[in-house]
Amino acid sequence: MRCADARGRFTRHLDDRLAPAERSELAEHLAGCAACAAELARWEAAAASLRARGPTPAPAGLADRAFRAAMQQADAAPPLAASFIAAARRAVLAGAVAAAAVWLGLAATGAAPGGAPAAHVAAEDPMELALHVQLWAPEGGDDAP
Amino acid sequence: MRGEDAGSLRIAAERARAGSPDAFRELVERSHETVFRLAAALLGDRDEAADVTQETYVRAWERLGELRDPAAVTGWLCRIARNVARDRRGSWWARIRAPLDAATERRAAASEPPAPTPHDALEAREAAGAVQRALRLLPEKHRAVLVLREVEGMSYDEIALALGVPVGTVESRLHRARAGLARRLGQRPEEERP
Repeated sequence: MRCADARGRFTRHLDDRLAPAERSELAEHLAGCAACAAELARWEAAAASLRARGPTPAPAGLADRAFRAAMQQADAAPPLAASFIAAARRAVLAGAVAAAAVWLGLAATGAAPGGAPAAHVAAEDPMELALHVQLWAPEGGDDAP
Repeated sequence: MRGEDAGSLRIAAERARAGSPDAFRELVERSHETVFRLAAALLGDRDEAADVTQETYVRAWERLGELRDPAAVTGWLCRIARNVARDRRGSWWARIRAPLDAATERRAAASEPPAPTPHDALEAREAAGAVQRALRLLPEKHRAVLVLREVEGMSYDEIALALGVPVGTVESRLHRARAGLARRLGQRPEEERP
């Protein structure tokens, strides 16, 4: 076995993941190669230094803080479902306005279903025409100086 | 993770996804250690890791509807935690805070109370400092896998789940990380290079 092959097995050796045959081959190489044995000893010492630190415990009360932060955030900002519903409402409203605009346009050219020209609508039902015009009023028009 | 724990976590995730705050609380309690340890491994800072853990659950509660498989909730949470950690590392706050952390660390080392035997305490402190320095010089993906394995004692499968990589990648990163750590620990301080 070459040194590179032996060192390539170090990690699996340290984690006890070598097959019995692989382990035997490595042991045989280490017995006759002082450089690789010293290198493995360095790997083991480094791992031991790290393990001496021990696992990092989560700070006390972290779970409670995380839960409360999630709930507070949900109260402050609408969750995904609420945002989706609000967006859907806006889309329906915009669609209704667009449909009304198309109908009004067709009515003005005399091509609306029923063939009623705008002047005819105005003559017969001024309130209905006023409603169409109101639909077209720009947003915030009341705030205009 | 034991089968019983995994089953409880899956049930909590299902109920939380249906909108139960109580189930979400249980999910947080059962999973926050794993999320915190991953964040600590990625960032190397307990305070930062705690902040990342908290933000992870804020995002998780907002996006629970996107969780397709409740049985895979741990991996899903870890993916959110990785994204939060990445966002924080790139933030202006992280860039400002990095030099402050180094200064705090130096002050803490200088003011650490002596152990019963001063010589032993000095040696132990020097050894811990050397490991810490060597660890910090490793690429982040190598440092994370090494800490999760050696310090947190996770299995290859758990690490693969936490980092979202195949088990084979865990093994190869671990191999490079150990080689890098051993090499750096074998160097004198003036020889250390990132």
